[in-house]
Amino acid sequence: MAKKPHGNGLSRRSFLSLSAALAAGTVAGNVLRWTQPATASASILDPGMTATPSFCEVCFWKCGIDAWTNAQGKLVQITGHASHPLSNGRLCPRGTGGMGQLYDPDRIKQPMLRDGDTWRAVSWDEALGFVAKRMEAIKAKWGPESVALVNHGHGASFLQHMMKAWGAPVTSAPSWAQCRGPRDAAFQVTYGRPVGSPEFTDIENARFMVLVGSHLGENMHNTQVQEFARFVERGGELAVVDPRFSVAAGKAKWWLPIRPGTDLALLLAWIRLLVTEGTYNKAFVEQHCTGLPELTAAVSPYTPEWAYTQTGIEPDVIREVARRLAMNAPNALVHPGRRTNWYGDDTQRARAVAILNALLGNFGQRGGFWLGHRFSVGRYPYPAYPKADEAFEAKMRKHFPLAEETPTQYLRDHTLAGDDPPIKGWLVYGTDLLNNFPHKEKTIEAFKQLELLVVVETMPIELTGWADVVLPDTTYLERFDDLHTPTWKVPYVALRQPVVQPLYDSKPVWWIARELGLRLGLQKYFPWKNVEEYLDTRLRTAGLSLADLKAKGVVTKDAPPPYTDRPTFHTRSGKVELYSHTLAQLGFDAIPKYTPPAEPPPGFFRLLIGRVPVHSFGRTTNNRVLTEIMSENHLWVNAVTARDFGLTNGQYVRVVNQDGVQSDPVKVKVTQRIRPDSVFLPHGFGRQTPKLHQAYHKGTADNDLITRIVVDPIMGGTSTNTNFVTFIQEPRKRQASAEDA
Amino acid sequence: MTELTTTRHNPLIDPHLHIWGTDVTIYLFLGGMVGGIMVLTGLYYFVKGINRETPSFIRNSMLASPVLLSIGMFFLFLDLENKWHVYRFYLTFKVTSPMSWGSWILIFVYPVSVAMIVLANRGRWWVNWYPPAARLVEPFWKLIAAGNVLFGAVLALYTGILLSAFTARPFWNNGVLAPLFLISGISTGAAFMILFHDGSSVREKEELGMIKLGLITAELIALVLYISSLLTSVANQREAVHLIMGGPYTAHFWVLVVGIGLVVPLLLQTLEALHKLESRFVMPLLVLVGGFALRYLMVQGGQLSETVARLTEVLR
Amino acid sequence: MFRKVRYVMVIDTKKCVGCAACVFACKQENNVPEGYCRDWIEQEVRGTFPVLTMENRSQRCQHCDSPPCVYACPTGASHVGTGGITLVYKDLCTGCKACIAACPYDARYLHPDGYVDKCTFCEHRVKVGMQPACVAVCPTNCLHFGDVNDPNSNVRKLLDTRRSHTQKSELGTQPQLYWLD
Repeated sequence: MAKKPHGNGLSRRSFLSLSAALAAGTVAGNVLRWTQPATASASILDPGMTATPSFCEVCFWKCGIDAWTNAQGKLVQITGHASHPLSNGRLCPRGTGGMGQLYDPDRIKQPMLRDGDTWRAVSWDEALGFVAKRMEAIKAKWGPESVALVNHGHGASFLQHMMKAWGAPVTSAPSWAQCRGPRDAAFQVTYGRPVGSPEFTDIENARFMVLVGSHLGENMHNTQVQEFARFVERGGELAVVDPRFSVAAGKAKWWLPIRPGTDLALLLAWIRLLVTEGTYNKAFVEQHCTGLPELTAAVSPYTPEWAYTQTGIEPDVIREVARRLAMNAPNALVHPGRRTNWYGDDTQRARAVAILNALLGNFGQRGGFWLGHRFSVGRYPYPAYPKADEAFEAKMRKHFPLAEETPTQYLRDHTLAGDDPPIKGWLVYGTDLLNNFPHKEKTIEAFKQLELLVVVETMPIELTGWADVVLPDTTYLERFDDLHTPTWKVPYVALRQPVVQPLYDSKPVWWIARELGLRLGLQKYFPWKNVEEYLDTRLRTAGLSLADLKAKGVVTKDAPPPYTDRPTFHTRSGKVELYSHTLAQLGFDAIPKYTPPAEPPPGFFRLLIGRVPVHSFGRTTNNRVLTEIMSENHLWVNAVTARDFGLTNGQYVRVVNQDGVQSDPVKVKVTQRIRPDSVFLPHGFGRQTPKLHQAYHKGTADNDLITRIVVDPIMGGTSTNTNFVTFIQEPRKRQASAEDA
Repeated sequence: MTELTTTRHNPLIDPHLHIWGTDVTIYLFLGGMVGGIMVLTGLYYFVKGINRETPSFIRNSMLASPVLLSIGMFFLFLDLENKWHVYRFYLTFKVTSPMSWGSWILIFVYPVSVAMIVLANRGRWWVNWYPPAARLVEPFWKLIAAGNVLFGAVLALYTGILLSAFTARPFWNNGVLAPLFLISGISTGAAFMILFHDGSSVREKEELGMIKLGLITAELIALVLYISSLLTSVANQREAVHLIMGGPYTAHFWVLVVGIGLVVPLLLQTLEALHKLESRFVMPLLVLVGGFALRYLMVQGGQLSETVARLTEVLR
Repeated sequence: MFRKVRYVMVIDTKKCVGCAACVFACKQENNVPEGYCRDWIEQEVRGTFPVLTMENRSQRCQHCDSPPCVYACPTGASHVGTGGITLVYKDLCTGCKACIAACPYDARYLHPDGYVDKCTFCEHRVKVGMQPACVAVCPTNCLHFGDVNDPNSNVRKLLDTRRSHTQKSELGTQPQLYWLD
């Protein structure tokens, strides 16, 4: 065996041993791919699986669920509760993925107290003591009305109770001005009641339905989608008005790809067709409505040909839809939508929807609006709340006369300006304030004016970085909450109960409210020792017990069909106000008037936002179960626009809006499904804090691009669709932002 | 315009199938080559008879065959995800499964080729060390030769049938693939044998050279038939041809498989046949490279072809 | 005399909204590993703005009557179980992946534990009279599952009264997922 080295310096022996080692290494890599022991299954049929009935809170629909824990006590499945009227045994993807919220490793694990520029993990006693002390200090100097509660979610009820007991009347929820407010205000002045949630729309029995914007199917409110599917199955005909070819549009006989901001023109044209052609529901209108002559006169200019010039929808199509509406009335429905804060004139647009429905006479009718029932459960016998200072609300109403709730941006602006009455503290529960209403930089400045900012949250969202105290709430799966007794076709009472014990040092919000209340001297408003006592007391007034509800999850009552031929309207006239005296007296248009929307600057495209079915906005973008299917949002760009700008499907691009604000890099979806003059971006992505490991810098945040807003003068809603963007070809390097903690 | 989105992103499946890689390619190559060696060796005995001394390059290639086959089978074993269960192949026979056929064929190839090794190497010291061996095989030489031709051909053919039986993969599902692999296998087997030539048995080597000429020509014809049968077939097969006509494997096919693997060796072999040049290493190595490249193209291209065909059809 | 049970699925894409609840429910019920799925959503939109059509499909193994995966399996791991459900015996599977190559619907995947896995029509639930997890969760009730040989089953009635088609029928796999027209 020669031992002379080869030309390349390796001896034969070392070469052989080297190659042998390499071969062995690669082979070992392959050989080591043997079986591992099979992982345990998680079927509901497995021994030791327990189902705990409760109701969901991944979104705000509150479907009944069965939460399945295995023999080791781990939550492994969530299914729809069979007898719950909102789920009927079925469940949307978000609720199905709820354990991703429970087991999110990024959850806030213990109370945190700000110490200058750093944070300390503290005990609950210290944290709550701090909050109480500060609140008392504010009360001493300015009064309890100077602490506001900004909240969203079913768990807030205990905090609301605590604040009312303490004498703090100022509350706000973004769901008013940044969501349902416009349509609720419109229905209030027209019918004397808001639309409410869940909506009282009888979708499944409609023979003809018009959706204006509402993208049912991407908006996954469980029951609504169930009804929508039944509507489709029964051969209901659908017209969808949307600049985007939504999933709902995919099921529509007519897709009206309307020019954004011109929906009111279309609605007024439909109203005009019904009244001038006399195809409106005469019986209903004569019996139940006022203001028809004024309405007829006001809408006379809005011909289909005129509407075509505004909306781009062919006059024939406009006529056909009106014909179908009239033909199928009263089993025809123009859906009032849910998130309706689009352009700043939204109450008037929702008014047009309300008027159109009135002309169909569908109030209280099958396929229109049902009038449901509520399961009556007595309130807990608390003493009366103290009389609270009404100054803030009075001032707010001067600005927004028909705001049933305080617009969140109004509270923020008031706080920032230091206006009278002073707001010196915010107690925030379950709402992502830096991402769900406009101008977060102003919100941050407002925070700096506060003596106290308390955030009760499960996740370390950007907002928590500005708080004085962060209190970790449990998720909905770890706690009791107040009973749910909504108005529905079938009355029911549902219980939320813990499926697992609270993780980490999180505490249920009822306990936080109670502990805070006790420290604020509100003993007489928290006479119950624990929430089970509270719930049981309430349930016994209805002949039920907590034990019943714990076992069953929900109890329903038989009720007659939720329709009536003798509806009542709690308006001033007692009738449906086609012409709104209330609005007239407040100086607003009594009948909606159309104004054309602003044009985009050349080369810019209108930014539209919306939902995707597997996510519930920012609440789920860190949920590792759900992000497996979708982890970032895409910017929908029309194929022709993309070609003009040289964009290819799947590439990343930045956009800049009319005010020069740039987005983060976002993936482009080149599609035929949107108008060439618009782009679409799902809301809730583009998180800015690395503490949300899954969601950090995934996609881009629409809220940051919504810098130009128009405020609805009637109820204070802020527009979302009033911004325009164009594309920046070369994404610049992402800069570290101030919130990157 | 059609827009198709899917939520599925299964590893090895999406965006297109890639379950089989170099492990399987190496096995297919070695299996085909060993099959070719067995066929040629068997045929040699039928043509030349038993009474002459077997040329060394034939003897040595035949000796290498079980070793090469074992290496191939080892790579096949590496491809298994659950190696503990490998014995399961041999507890049953599934007549509808070409892979089951293959696992059993591989078993039977061993004794057949060992018998041929003994036959070819009778007279060598290590065969004579066990005298009954030589005495046993000689009377059955025709049977052994036939057996080698048969099993060698079946071995090479089945590697093609293994792929062509998958109706799901348009690039594979073609009747010409098995004969193509057989011809390619014999061709690479011949190339391998030429590599072992040590200067002796010149006439046999020249004859083998002429056979090689015929084999390369046959393989070129088989490729033409393969492509034309895809082009005249159903839509998804017509689309699959784009892989090598403008698609990602175009250069691989025309340069490696056809150019370096077939056309250049054809030229070199022709020149050698005309006694214009002598090529001991270059031509066979090019053929082997081409044979490996062909199998690599088939394994990768076939996995890609279903997605390519489906998306082309949908996005039409 | 004995009517053989044959499980099939009938799917009404007119109702499907592509929400992917079926994907999550299946993953949970069958403990499908992260990054893998047994069923998935396809969304197909055709046309040019503004003339467009859409179809949403909940896809999974077709449990074919002539299953190429079963034919291709060399060890008998891939087999047909009761009711025509295509299943895999984990302990026979060598992970050779021939069945994955054989499936024209790309319905199979390689489980990280070393065997080939796919939709089982939730056979463990069907055996005790329950519906598969995807069928049970679907908010639009667009998935129908049952015994096509039972004249009273929902699937039988749907197939008798409505036109339907199957996917890649030209391949002769006789898939048992029926898509209502």
